[in-house]
Amino acid sequence: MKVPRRWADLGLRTRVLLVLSVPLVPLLLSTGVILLTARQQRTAQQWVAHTLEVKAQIAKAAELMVEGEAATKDFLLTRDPDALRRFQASGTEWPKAARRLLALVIDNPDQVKHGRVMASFRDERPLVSLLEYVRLHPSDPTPPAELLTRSRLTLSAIRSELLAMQAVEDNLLTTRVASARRAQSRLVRVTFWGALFGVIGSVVAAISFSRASQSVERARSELDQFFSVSLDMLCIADTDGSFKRVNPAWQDVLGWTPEELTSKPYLEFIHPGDVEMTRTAASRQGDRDTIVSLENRYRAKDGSYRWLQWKSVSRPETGSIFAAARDVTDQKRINTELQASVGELKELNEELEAFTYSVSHDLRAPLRHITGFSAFLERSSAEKLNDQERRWLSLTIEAGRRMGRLIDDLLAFSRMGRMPITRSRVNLDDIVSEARNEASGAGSDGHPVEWVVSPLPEIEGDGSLLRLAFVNLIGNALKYTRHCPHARVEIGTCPNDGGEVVIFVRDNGVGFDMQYAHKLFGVFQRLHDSEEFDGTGIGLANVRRIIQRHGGRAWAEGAVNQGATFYISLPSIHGRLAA
Amino acid sequence: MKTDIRTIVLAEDNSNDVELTLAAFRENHLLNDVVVIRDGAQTLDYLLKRNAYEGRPNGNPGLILLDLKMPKVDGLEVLRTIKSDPKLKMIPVVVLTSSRQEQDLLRSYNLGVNAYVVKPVDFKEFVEAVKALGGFWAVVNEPPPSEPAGA
Repeated sequence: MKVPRRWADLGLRTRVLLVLSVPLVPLLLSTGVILLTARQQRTAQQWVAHTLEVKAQIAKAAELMVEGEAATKDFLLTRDPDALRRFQASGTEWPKAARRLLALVIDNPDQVKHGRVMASFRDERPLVSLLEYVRLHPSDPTPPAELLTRSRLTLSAIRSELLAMQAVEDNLLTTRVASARRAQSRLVRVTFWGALFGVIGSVVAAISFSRASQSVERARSELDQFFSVSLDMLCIADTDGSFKRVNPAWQDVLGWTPEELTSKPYLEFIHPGDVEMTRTAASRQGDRDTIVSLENRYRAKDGSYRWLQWKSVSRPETGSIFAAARDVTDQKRINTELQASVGELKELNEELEAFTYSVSHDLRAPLRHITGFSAFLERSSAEKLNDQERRWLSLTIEAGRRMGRLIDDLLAFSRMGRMPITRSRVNLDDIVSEARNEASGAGSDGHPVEWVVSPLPEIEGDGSLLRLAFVNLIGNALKYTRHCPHARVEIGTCPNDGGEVVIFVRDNGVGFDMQYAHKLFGVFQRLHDSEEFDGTGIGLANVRRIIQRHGGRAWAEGAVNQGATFYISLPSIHGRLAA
Repeated sequence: MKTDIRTIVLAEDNSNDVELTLAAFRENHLLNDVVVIRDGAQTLDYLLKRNAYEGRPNGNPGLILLDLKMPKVDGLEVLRTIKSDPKLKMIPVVVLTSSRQEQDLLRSYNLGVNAYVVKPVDFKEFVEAVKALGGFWAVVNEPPPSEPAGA
């Protein structure tokens, strides 16, 4: 998983969580602080209560002491048995009270010390000793002075311990009350701020949440737009085999309304022959992120079938399959038609091959016989014929020869059109010099020619075909300058605005009438009669065919008896070749 | 220089072509021993010394001029048979045909033909071609050692 780099990279869920946590975290913190402060305050209260309880207990002990003292005094004076009873009652209460007091102050070492001191004085039994004396000396009205004094001192000591304890507790009380008050006010403060925080936090959370859901909504509605407007058919299906949602394109293509499409399992719309295949493909969608592609036929409302090309992906955890389909019926039909055309063309081509073969072989044989036997006749009957008859015979033979050449040229022209064109870097200078040799050698009469040949660029093309073209052009230049006293043939390039190379072959021979320039490159078209200049009229047609196959053009300019210039354009080395 | 010019077999079905070819031979004084056979099956019969040609004199011909388009067994079949038979494959075979079709050239050379000559339409040129052929095969070329045909 990539570490998210920017806000926008985070998933929607993460973003919402982050946004909500901004006010929530301080809210939780403040709640914690409030609770802590409340506990503190409670503790402070408890300590105050405790101190008050101790004070009460000290008072209780003092009270008991006073009661005992009073009862003893009464008994000493009056010998009233009721006073004795009162004394005994307080006597039994006292240990309980003392124990309780000691228990309460056990955490305070000072108080414990006071308590112990007090207890030790109590153990001297100041009052009980007086009563014992009276019991032992019934006739003596008053105990001896030193006993009374000792008893008084002991009681006084006990009393002062109690007072001391009370003072300690009073101090503690003051401190603890102050502390409790502080805790109380802190609690109030903290609660106030916490509440404020809470309110602000909730407001911020609410705003962020609404913003987040707005952006979700916006994103959703943007995608929704594409869903509605798409020309392709989009749909969401469930894994049980029905459409959950379809876009408007379904109705445009098939004619069914969305209600009709979602009312039945989608398999019911599919051509029976494709149902099994679709079912199998759908079962493969079980894995998340498997992209399933297939083609099947869907029935349109009018009963016809359309071929649909599908691409779908599933999210199994939500039980949804998301799919897009395209109507390829027309494409398929065009493809089929194209295949049929290609098949037809192939057949035609094969027929053409057979035809060419037949022409090549079967037409030549009788032609050979015509010329052959005519030649015999010419030889054997030379003396028997008159001039006219001899002339007719000679013309017959010549016609036969010409027909042979026509057949050859036609075959070459046809074959050349069907040959695959090989592309390689071609040096035009070499081509031109080879073509010059070939054109000058074959059937020329060796008349003197002035050559002006400029360097030519390299191009990309078929060397042998280009040589053939130049042989034709140069051959023509030589042929049509045959009667020139100073024949001159010029070969060079024309400046061009780039992308093309334009080459010309110029001669100063008989030229031609520009009026008929458009006929120059036609098959078997000639602008001069064959008595003057031999030829079948296919040379320039070949040139044009070759140049066209290289992606260029051929044209010519000329004037009668002022020579002719033939131009050919070829894509430069960086240009692209047409097939 | 050769002292014996052996038989030349001309396998050609078209009678006009036969006549023209023989005339060309005559012009070039090559008419010594030209055996004309009119179809492929008989050509093989001759070469293998069977059926009608059982009684022919022994020895392989010095040259076979073979037309491609022949009835029954056509030229390429004859060529294949000749070049795959150990007794016959030494015989030089020159295909003499009207067709310049590339597939015929390919097939013939693949089968091991020694030369391929296209019959020119013009008779004069044909005579020249035969003269050159004859000059080469009958004079310049060293024929394979002769071998009795059959076992």
